[in-house]
Amino acid sequence: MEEVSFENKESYTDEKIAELVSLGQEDYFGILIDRYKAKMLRYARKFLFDESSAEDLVQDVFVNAYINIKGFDVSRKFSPWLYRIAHNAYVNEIKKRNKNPLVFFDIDVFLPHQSFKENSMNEVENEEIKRELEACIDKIDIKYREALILCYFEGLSYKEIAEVLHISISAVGVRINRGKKAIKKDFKI
Amino acid sequence: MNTFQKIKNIDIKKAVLDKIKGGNIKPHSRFYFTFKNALTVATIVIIFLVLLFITSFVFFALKTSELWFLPIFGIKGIGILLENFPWILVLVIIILTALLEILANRFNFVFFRPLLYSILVIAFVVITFGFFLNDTPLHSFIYEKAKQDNLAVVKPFYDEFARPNPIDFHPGTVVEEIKDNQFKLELADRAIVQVAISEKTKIRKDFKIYKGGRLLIIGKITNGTLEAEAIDNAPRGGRP
Repeated sequence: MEEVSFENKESYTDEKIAELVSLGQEDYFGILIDRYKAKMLRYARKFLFDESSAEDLVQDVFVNAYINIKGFDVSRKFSPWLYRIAHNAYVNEIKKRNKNPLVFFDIDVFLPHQSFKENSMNEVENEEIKRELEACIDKIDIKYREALILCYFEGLSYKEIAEVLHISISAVGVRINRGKKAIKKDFKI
Repeated sequence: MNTFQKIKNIDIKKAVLDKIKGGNIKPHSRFYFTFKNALTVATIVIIFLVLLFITSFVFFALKTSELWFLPIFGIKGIGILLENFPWILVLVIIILTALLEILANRFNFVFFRPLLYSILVIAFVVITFGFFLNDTPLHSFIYEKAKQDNLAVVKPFYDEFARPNPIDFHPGTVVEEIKDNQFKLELADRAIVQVAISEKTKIRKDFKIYKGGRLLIIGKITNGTLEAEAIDNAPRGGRP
């Protein structure tokens, strides 16, 4: 097993650390928690609007990530893998709480769409969207909300969001664009 | 970040690491994931093969029952075809395709593209290979074997779909020469019916009815006589 000095831990990539954890160096899992706990909490709070259960859910996310760490393919990026675990945990939580069941069939996922340009906006526009999103996030349809959160707050690319949500890249573009339109409409009102 | 959140965040890390160190949680082994993936792939392969078998069987059933020649009679023929189509098998094919899609959607090369694409690919592959498989002796062999050995599930299944008794459609063989616009036809179930041709019967001008000829007839049977509404030759490639 590879011996790694903790002094150099910050220089290791997430994937390298995940590999070390999967090889039995479980102490390194703490580094991944340090790197992602704030992101996971933010994702949970914005997606679920629930401060009280966010910590418990994030704890479950990390527990599940540890249990499944040997299933992580180190040749791929760690963050979409972890966000996928979080997505599943949060969606399950919504299903448990929500009286209205989530829609399983989405025509946008089924049909092909024109490809939307990624990150076509400048920093100022991005910040504006974030601000507007912050103000009206609870009014946005859940399927658009999650894509917007992952894009604007978590900084994931369309491809990474597609990996998290298990939908096509063009469907991610559709959700983000429709979500943005919903925000604009909401602000005009 | 306020102090409260900071404390809670530290607790998450501590709680998870305590669970790990306390042995309360253990990672699944690599074998678990290899086995899970192998199981998924095996299930996909099995579903695909079943899908292929059923699709080729639909072709075989349509060919054996000669239903797929019905469009030569125009709208009336298409109507009878749709009425007698093995829709239950089509439903099974749709369910299996959906299952296959759900399982395949675990792989990023599938979900990165719209579902429609993967469904079209599955449909194209299954229909193409199903069509070619129907041309092999596979189903004829199974059907013959089922009939010989009176196999419990297979024989009724093949009988049900490959030998249906469609209302208003009667493929058969002429067993008696035509006389006074009437002739005798032996149907698939060996029953012999009298066929009556009238002025209303749609039939080509140069059409010849001869003993041993294979015919497709649309019409209703009343009092043992089949009042032919339309008659045509059974093209090759029908009932073996």
